[in-house]
Amino acid sequence: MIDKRVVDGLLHSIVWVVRGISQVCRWVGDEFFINGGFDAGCQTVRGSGGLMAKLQSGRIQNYFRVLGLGTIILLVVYFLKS
Amino acid sequence: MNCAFPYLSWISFTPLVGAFAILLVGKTQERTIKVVALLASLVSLVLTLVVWAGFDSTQGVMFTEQCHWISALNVDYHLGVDGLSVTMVLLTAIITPLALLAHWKLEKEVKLFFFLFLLLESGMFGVFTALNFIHWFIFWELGLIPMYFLIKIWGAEERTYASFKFFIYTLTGSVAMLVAFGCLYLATGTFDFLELRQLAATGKLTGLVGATITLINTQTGLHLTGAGMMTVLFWGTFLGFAIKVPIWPFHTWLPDAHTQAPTGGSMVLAAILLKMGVYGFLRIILPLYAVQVAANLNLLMFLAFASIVFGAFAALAQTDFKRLVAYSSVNHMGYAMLGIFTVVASAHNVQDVMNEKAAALNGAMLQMFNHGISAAALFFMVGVIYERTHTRNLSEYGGLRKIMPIYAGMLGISMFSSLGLPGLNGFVGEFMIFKGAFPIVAGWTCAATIGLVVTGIFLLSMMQKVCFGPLNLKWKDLPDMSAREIFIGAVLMLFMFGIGIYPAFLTKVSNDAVVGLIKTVTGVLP
Repeated sequence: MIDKRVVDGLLHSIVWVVRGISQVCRWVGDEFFINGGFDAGCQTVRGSGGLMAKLQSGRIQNYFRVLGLGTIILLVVYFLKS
Repeated sequence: MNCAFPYLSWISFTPLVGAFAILLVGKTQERTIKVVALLASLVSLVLTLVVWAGFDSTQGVMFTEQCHWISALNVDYHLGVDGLSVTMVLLTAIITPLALLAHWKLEKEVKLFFFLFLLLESGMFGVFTALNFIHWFIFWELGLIPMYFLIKIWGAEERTYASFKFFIYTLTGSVAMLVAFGCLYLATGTFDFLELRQLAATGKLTGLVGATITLINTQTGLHLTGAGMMTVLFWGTFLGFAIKVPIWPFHTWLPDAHTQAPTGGSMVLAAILLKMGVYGFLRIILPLYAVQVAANLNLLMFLAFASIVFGAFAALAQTDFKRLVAYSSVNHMGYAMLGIFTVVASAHNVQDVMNEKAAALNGAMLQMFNHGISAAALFFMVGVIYERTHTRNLSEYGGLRKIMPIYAGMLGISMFSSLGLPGLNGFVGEFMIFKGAFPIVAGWTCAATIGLVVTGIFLLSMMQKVCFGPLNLKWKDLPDMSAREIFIGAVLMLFMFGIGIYPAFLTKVSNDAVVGLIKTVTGVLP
């Protein structure tokens, strides 16, 4: 009775705990945080690559618009400071 | 050249010559290609055995070859082996022909496969024999590119993701390390490992880095110190090696790469490429950055502990045979790191501390070699069964012992070797690590024993799932291992028993270098 209920019961609960920890290590630690972080990092790099590609479209009008906007901002900053 | 016959150059470049010889063979002459590849790797093995036989550990670095290479950068072609590297050269020479034999039946892109494999072997030899950073780094990278293609072309379903991840991780580490060495070169004017070690041992390295930093500070207005810069350089170099080992949490490229790589690729990856990382800790981190390792000891010990325990737990949760074995590598390399970090721990109240540290570091050396043997065997066993069943799902196996008794026997021995059963090789390394680490870092060592228990659980349950229980009737006609496969397994078993019974085969070679390294390290510690 003690063997079956207490000792075996304790053993089985340890097994459940160990299995639980192993699942947490696998899914939460490795898959979610570490792999998820790596994948998200790669995705961000790809995304920013896309953004940079859009900025460098080769359309001269867009470049002038950015230049114009930049000049206005600089002028505003200059006048505000002075 | 200092050595009468340039053995190490021959060992390193014979596979390269073999690789280019393969390019001259017609694509359809597959058997010739395989024979040339095997011969090239066997020539390197024979030369390595000559070096091993002639190696005298009391002489320090032996079989040196040195000549000017890039004068403008003060870079020499400088080769040599000591007790730390000669064992790794031997491991490389043993595993590569076996990995080539494991692919004897390969039919896809045979020429390219064997060409890349020999290129990889040359890179691995180069890493373990180079004594100059530039030379060493070229071979370090040479090992990366063939492995990328081996996974990408001959890998399983998810090979593109796995190869990309492997490449990105390793390259990130390499870049960090390259920058760190660039800074060291600016400060010292040398890339030579032995010269840098000497500078670190005499305490001049931090001063030289400090002088360079002062110059940068005056020009930029920054307030960096020499010691602060050394810490930055340490973490840069650490990242390069920690990814390669791999240490938790830089390890998740490994299960993906292993799972997708072809059998021989996995054998070499586990047996040798990971050891390049651990070797980096011995050859570079400990001699040059002992103070920084000591300053961050608890964090580093935690990372070793995490590799051991989290690696073991994660292995237990795997349903993929190969992935489980891959996680066992993270776990086993964690033990080696525990032994290595023990060397810098202060232990004023421990009697004969040198002896304990030597035990821990010799244990780490043994663990490197032993894991090379047992992991290669386990990955080979996974490959054998995958070739027959085309699945790695553990739940689909079962009862294979009844129809494949030789396979079950060999898998059992490999599993027990990995588990650390007394009498087999795995036991000696782990025992020495724990024996040496316990008196010095008792808390971390006790915590790491959780990993020992979980390692036993996941390896035994793996064995249970594959070989015992009811036979899956899908596999009732599976043939047992062929003569070629038995030969590969038998060679690896020979080392498992051999080192298990007579570990001095390795320790008598490594001990002097280990003691020398410990003296260097403790000499610079406060």
